[in-house]
Amino acid sequence: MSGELADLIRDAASLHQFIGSIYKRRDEPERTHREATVQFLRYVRELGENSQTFLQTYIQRAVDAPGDISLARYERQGLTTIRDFWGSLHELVRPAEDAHTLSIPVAFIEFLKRTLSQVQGLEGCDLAISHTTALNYFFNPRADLKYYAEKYQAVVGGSPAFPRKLALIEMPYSQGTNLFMNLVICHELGHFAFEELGIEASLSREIDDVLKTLSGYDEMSEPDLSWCRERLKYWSEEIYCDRFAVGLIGPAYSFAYVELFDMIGTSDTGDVVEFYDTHPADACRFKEHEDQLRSCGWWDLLGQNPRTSYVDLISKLAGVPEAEYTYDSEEKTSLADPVLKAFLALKPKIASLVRDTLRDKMRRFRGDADRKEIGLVRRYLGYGVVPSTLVSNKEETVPDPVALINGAYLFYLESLSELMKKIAGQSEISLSHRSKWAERVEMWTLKALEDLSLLSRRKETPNGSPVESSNL
Amino acid sequence: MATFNDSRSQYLSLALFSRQIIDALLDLVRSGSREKLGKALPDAIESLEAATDSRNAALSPVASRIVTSYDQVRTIDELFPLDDRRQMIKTLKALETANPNTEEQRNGALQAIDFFYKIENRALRNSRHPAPKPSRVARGLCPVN
Repeated sequence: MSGELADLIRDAASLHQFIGSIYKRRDEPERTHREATVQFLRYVRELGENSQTFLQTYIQRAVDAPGDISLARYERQGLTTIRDFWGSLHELVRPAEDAHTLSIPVAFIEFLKRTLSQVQGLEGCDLAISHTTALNYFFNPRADLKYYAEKYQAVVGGSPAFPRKLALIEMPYSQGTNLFMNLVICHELGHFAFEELGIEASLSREIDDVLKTLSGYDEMSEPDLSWCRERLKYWSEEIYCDRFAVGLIGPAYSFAYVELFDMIGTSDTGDVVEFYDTHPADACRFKEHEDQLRSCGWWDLLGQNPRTSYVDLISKLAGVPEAEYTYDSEEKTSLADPVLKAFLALKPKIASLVRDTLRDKMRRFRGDADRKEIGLVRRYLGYGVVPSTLVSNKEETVPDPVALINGAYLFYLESLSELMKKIAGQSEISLSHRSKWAERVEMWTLKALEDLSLLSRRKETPNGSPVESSNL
Repeated sequence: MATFNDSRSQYLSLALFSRQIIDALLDLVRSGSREKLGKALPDAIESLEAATDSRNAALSPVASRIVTSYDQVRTIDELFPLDDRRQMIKTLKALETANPNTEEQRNGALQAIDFFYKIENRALRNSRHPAPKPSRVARGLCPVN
């Protein structure tokens, strides 16, 4: 055996072992996962097994027919690309395994799955949740894993296709049993819709149209052009996702954003008008939040809740004139201003993309119906009662899930002390007491969501009689 | 926050894209098989056209993906001047149909293999050692990988 061949066999064996170390499941029978996670982990395992078979065939071919030695280096580099691909999967597998059903808010995830599945083109979708050590939420990947998977299939023949309509979402490991902060996942679902529904293709035409209006467009180099396109695409997608999230669950998303990034603490700094390479300025984002909330009618409700400073903050940031937005790029200094101007010209088109995506599934404020349900949810929580079934004027109803979530969030923001006053030994200024009851409110709301899910499932049962709400 | 991972992802995409066409061309050189080439070649031509003259390229989803990725376009641009890219587009187009002059076809395929090998190589290198980015960190929900 030649030295080159022996080296090749050693390298392929190392890669074979590396792939196995990623896809082989640890023996942890006590953990159970949602079906979407099981599906994702199964995909990785099948991909790994197929890759290992491919490697063996690859080596066999090299042994049987050594061929043109001058081509060997071209072929060898392919192993490095396969290794890098598995290096990217390496980051996804363990966090997905860690996100078992006891460490994620299952009732909320199921609610999101049902809601998202009603959007045209996203029927049958599901969310595979994984954990991250970052205090943030991620849509993983940005279209890339599917793209990789397609390319990988072409390179490693026989590879399984990436599961259809599967959104891979990362959430902070510490937030497994909470609700409110996790509402930010709705933004990540926007990325999923953006990718799955091919919004990028229609947006890229708009991006090019707006770029053509820039002076010097004809003389721009290809890297400069792609840099401008990338900024416009990133910023537009972020705005799309924010509007999508508000369109899905109303103001609760904006509240969660404020809380996650402690916007109250940072809103007086100059940073709020600053654009970043991949994200628009907070002032710009909240301008879009407010516009989306107004166009869906939610602002009528927020105007009646003056006790939370969150609403004031949204208004304040939304009121910052666009002329004050800034973007400094160390990479392309001279293009920073023009690309920001181009974005502001492009931005109004994003609202219509979200309208076209959600259509009649856009959750608009339902006026008195929402006011009544939100009021009742708050009242129930004020007495420490899970608001699954609401009784008003001797009539039983079940709340709409979005009304439930918004009612609970408003209660948490404005009225937690009302609950604490009713409980002996609880001090409003004790942070540990307050923290405990805030957790309870989230827990009760998740329980109510779970109850609503059971009800909707039983209603969907074929040949079964509809369940009366009083049975819950 | 997402910048590093995003760049890595773009480079890995570029490496896989290059590997697909390299493998297809290797099959052509070794055995004359055009089976993999049928799918890989149009994508390669379209993507290279988009990275070379995007103003006049028809931006299909494949091409759009290339032209909105600064790291990918910059990598190709750093490796090959415009004229070399245009010449390679011609070479790839010539490979779309079987050439009775097998020696000429083989030479064209070898040139193309070497071209994409260099792109794959640079993409892999950049993926492991991304160029330093501006230090400002994005606040943000979202994309990794």
